[in-house]
Amino acid sequence: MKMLTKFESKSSRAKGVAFHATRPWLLVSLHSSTIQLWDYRMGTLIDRFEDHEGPVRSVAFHPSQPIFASGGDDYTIKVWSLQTRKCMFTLSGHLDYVRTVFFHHELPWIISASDDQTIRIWNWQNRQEIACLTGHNHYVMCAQFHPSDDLIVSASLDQTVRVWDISGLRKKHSAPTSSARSFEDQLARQNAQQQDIFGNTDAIVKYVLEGHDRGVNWATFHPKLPLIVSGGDDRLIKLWRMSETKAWEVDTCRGHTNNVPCVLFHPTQDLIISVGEDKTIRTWDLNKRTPVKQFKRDNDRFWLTTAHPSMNLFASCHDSGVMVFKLDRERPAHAVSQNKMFFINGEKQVQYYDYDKASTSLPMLTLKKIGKSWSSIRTLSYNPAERSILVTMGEADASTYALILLPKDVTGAIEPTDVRQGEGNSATFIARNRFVAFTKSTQTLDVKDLTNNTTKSIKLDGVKDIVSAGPGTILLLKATSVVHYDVQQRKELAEILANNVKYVTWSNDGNYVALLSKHTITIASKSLELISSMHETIRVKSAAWDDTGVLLYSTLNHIKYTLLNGDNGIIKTLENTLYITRVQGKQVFCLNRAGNVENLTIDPTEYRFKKALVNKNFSEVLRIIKNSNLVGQSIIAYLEKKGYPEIALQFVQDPETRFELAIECGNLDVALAEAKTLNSKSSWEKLAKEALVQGNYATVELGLQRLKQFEKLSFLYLATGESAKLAKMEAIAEHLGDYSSLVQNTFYRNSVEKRVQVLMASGLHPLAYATAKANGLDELVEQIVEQTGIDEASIVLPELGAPITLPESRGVVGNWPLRESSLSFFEQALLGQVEDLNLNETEVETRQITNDFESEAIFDDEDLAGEDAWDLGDEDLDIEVEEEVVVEESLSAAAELNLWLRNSHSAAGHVAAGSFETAAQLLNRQVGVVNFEPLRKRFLEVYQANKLYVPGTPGLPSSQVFIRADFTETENKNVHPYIPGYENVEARLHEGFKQFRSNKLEEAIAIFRDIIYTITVSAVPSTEEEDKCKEILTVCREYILGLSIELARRALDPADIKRNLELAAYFTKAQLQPAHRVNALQVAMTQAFKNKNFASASYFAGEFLKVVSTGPRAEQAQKIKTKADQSPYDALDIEFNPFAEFEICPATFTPIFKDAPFVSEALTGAKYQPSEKGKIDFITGITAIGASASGLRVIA
Amino acid sequence: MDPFSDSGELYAIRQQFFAGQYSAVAELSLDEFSEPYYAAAKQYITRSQIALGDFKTALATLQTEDDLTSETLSAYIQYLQGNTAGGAKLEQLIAAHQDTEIVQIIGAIYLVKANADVDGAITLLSTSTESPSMESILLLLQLRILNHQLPLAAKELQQIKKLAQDSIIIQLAEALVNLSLGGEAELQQAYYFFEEISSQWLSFSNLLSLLAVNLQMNRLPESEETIKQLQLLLDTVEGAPRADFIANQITYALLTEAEDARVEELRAELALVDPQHPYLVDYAAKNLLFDDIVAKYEQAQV
Repeated sequence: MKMLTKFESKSSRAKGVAFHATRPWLLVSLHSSTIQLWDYRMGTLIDRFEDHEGPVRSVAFHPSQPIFASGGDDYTIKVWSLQTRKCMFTLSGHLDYVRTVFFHHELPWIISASDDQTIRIWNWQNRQEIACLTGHNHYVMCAQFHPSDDLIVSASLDQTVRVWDISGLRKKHSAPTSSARSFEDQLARQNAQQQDIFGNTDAIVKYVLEGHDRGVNWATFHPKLPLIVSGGDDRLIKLWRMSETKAWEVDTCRGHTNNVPCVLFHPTQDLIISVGEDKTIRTWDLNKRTPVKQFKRDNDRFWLTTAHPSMNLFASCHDSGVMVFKLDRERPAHAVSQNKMFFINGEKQVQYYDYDKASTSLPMLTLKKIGKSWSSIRTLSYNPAERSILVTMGEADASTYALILLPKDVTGAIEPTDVRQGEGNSATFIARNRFVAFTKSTQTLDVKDLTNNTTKSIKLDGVKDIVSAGPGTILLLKATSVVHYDVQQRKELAEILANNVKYVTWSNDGNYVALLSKHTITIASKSLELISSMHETIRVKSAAWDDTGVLLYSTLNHIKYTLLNGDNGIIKTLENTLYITRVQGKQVFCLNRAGNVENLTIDPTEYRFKKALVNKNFSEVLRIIKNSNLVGQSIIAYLEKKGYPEIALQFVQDPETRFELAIECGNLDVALAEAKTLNSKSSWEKLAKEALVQGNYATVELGLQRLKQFEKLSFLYLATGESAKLAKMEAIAEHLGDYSSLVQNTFYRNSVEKRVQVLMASGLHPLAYATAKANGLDELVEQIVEQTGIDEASIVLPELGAPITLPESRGVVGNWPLRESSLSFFEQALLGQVEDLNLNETEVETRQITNDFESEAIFDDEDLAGEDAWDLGDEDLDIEVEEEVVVEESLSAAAELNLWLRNSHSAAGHVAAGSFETAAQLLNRQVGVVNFEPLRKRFLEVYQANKLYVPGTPGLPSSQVFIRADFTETENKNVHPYIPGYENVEARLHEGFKQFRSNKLEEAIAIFRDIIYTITVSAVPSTEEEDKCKEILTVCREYILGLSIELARRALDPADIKRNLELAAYFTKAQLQPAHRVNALQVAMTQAFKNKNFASASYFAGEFLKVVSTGPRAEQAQKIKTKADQSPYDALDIEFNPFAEFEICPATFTPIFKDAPFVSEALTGAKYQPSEKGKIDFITGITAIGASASGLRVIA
Repeated sequence: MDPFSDSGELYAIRQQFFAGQYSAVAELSLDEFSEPYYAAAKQYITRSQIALGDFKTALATLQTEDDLTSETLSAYIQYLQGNTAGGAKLEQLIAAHQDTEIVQIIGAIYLVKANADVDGAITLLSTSTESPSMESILLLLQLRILNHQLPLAAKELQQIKKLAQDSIIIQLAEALVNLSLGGEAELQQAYYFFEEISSQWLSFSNLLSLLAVNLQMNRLPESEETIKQLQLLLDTVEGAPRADFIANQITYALLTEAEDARVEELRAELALVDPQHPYLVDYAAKNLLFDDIVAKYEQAQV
């Protein structure tokens, strides 16, 4: 057992402490009269409460309401609000120090114990004292409610512990007060209610427990069992048991060397925890009453301890503050190996979890008897080669390891049979047949073999812990660094500085390692070069890498992620701490503290998005933008920070943000749209400014118009040469009476007359005269002279030159882009402008394929039915024909090949075994293959695909090894060779369809033939696959047939219209997928229509419309049909009746009507005219038409 | 103390030699070894040099002394260089010293190499009057596999496993036998062995064996990864069994349904590297066999 301190406060003497039920809060009452509220997780002081006078001995949180109570030496109980952080009211009544206060778990009651020798119960809702329990004849040190029953237990310096029954009190306060009670009720009350000697029925003493020789300081109930534990100044802890009628002392725990002020039961385990003025915290085995462990402080006497209501946390107050601690780590020991995780559950049993099946195994072993009791298992290392585990347990000097063989079959928690133990703080496997055990105190690393013998001993220095790091090596965790150490060569391979690393996680590809310490995560490469390091305020608990190299980690209350560059974020908030063991796509597999596997589904979009962005994988970024609704300020801020405002733009709806982002990335269109929405001065200003920079004058104009900045506008018009608009500006200025602007405009426009008029109007006669004169406007000059009445001769002007002609504008200048405003990749993509964007294509493609597949299924079903009927026509063939093939075992061949040959029923197996002769024989008999040449490639492929060469000692030839269909097979008689091809047949089929769609008919035929060859020489495990093979053969047959007809048609002499029409019509008879048959129908329809065979054309158009009902092609068909129906007769009589049942002979391309004679081909089931018997099959090119055959067998 | 144990002086050199790290062994200096282990170390070093084709250095090292080991190895080098006297000398040594480990080993290799006399080699290795050395057993088991006597090999392996389970030589022998035997447990063992050894004592040949196991266990992504590693290693390693690698790549290409062109390319490459490789011999034989079949059924049809 280990005590792990989680929090410590420094203060004066602490007397009382309480945990909040849900928040990480801790109330501490001090001897100095202050009450502190701490966040023990963050380690911060949240608030202080100072209303009491003198020491506060006790505090208690209400289990659900936001209030707490305190009791102190000022004889009062105060109830405080956590919301206002103020004292709500004070309960007065006690006549001496209040020792303890507690809330009732459901009733609005507070119980208090006092040195005035009484216990009082208060109703905190109406703030009344509702009971005063007298009986103790000394200070009452402690009084508590029972967690579920109507009982109280109290401890007093009168050396007794008393149990009180308060059911009367409950009845009194919950029964209806005024209504008349029924007779039975009264009777029951009379009988049930005992009275104490004072006639008091509220609370009566049920038991008085005597046994302590000095005052008793504390007594408390067990949460579930009828037990009481008490501690006293006689330094003893006593355990009491009670029944309905009596209570008695069970046992005493001796050990404390001074007063025991407080003792309690562990909430979930069979432990007693006590604190003493002897400066120790001690734990005791509840069942054996023996000491388990003690923890000592140097200077501080302990006063009180309390347990968290739901978590494995305890708090103890002492002379200089409080400490929060837990007993034992709660991290379940576990190890991941391939697709399994081995772990120790809450019952100290070994289990494994299968990630692929998402299921937990039964317990395999119980380790209860391994190691000392109360020593938990800290680490687990798994050896897949030997199926054994290595566990370490215990702490410090008492730490041991055990090497345990797992049972072969999982049957339940059995005792391990093969256990080898030794001493060491950590132990881990480093090889199939080696493990290392490290002893911290002596700094020795022992390399051991599986019999637990030391083969080598190495001295290390300053190492705190070791963890495995791939075969033959370990990581040495030191105080300030981590060292990668080669155990065999005793060599330090690499070192990285990192403080107090506790846990290590390697990425799936082994290229990265995450080093976890309490508050830091360091990511390094496999050669321990620092990649990034980050600080985490909440304790880091665990981490695992996902498949793409993102590290997911858990803290006390979150699951978070970090990219290699240190960018991180929160994925999920946790109610309870979890330990991540593996990440697979959206699945996070965790272990909880109870040792159960929890499988969380997360949304990895955010980190995938960021990762794609960081890696500049823009098509992925785009995919994510399109396919997920990624929103939130954090993403936008992230994008802006990373310099991708144009991407951020895609996520934002808010006009303000959109506008800002648009300006930032120079997207004027969006900015303009948003500016219109916002219509604020600042936005127009920003827009105009940005537009000016970009040379987008139209937008600048709009912005300036909105802003009514006429001078700027005028200047813009001047610059762009829009004189008409300048004239307007002049008029506006005049209208507004803005003379200075008007004059400015006249300058821009060079309208001298206007200017003179303005100058005149504003009384600037000399200027007006000078202007007019200088420009040679004699008429105006005269007018001015006239108006002013000045003698013109008296005006002296400098010598004037010729009137200046101002340059004329050379016409209107449009927008003049100054900045390369090419759209970013994203904008283009989002506008759908990127034609060759792979992403879209593949999407379309996959959709196409799925469509194909669906329609194919329907189509295949129909066809199968047809084939069944067909086979019956055949004469019964000797099915046992295979038996005749004599399998000779060749002594010179490898045993494996002999096995294959012996076990194979398919030709493929014989091919793989190298027995081409028997394989050929089989194929000849099964399906009548006579032309083997096309199968050469497939034969050799099948033969080679399962053979490998392994080099041996140099000088010797390499030996051949073999690939089996199922490498887990152990029975010799079931051993089959691995035959490639079948897995890929469907994909090949789609390849063929693709060629078909792109009108490459020869290529398509070649592919379909190739598929036929592949299937002919294949081996599959069951009839299901065999049926599938046969379906595919039929599909291939129909396509080859159809395409051959079409090819023949195309090769025709154009003059042979009749044959052309026939072949076009026959093409439509091939059983193609509807989407493909459309092509045939279209050909037939257009050909028929062109050649005035309107009846046929109408028929084909009708068929066409059944499949395609909308779109331009359908419209065309509709037109043809309408037109053809106007004169529904055929100009040319062809051998095609759409309503008769017939098939097409693949050799002659002539119809074989339903009851006409035919011969068939065995591999694909094609039907031929009887005349074709004995020829090579046209479809496959390998079989003989009409050959006797037993049918293809492809089951291995 | 056993010089071959984990902490022994010869531990690393033996590990490296049997892991196929010949370059690393060849570079070791004999001065590093103390007197009692000098001879053994020298044998490993010269044999590594031979494996790398560095006959000159090997001969120079061997000529300094005049013992049976040097004699045998010198004769073997002579034979490898095409000098018939070497072969004659070896035959002579085999006749005279068939109980000596080095003669057994080199002799057996010689017999197989020169005369394809696997049976003779097996006899040489198994008729020793003294208890056979571990390397002789390793060799013997390989020959059994080549001779299609797999059950016998498996049986012999079980016997010697009891003697020295921990030795790399026995583990290597076990892994090789298991590769040929197949089956889940066997392949797992071989996989763990080769995986561990390639991460500790990486060499082309053990990585190539790892590739074989991966393919046998149908682990294609891992196989691809291994092929990449091998490709990287190819240029840095001398005397690598490159032909086997190419042959296995053909198989990989077929399993992954690669383009026909890729397979052809590999086949051409193999013909260039080692026209006598069993793969090509087998391929040609099967092609001929197929010709016969084509002809036979054509005839039947006519």
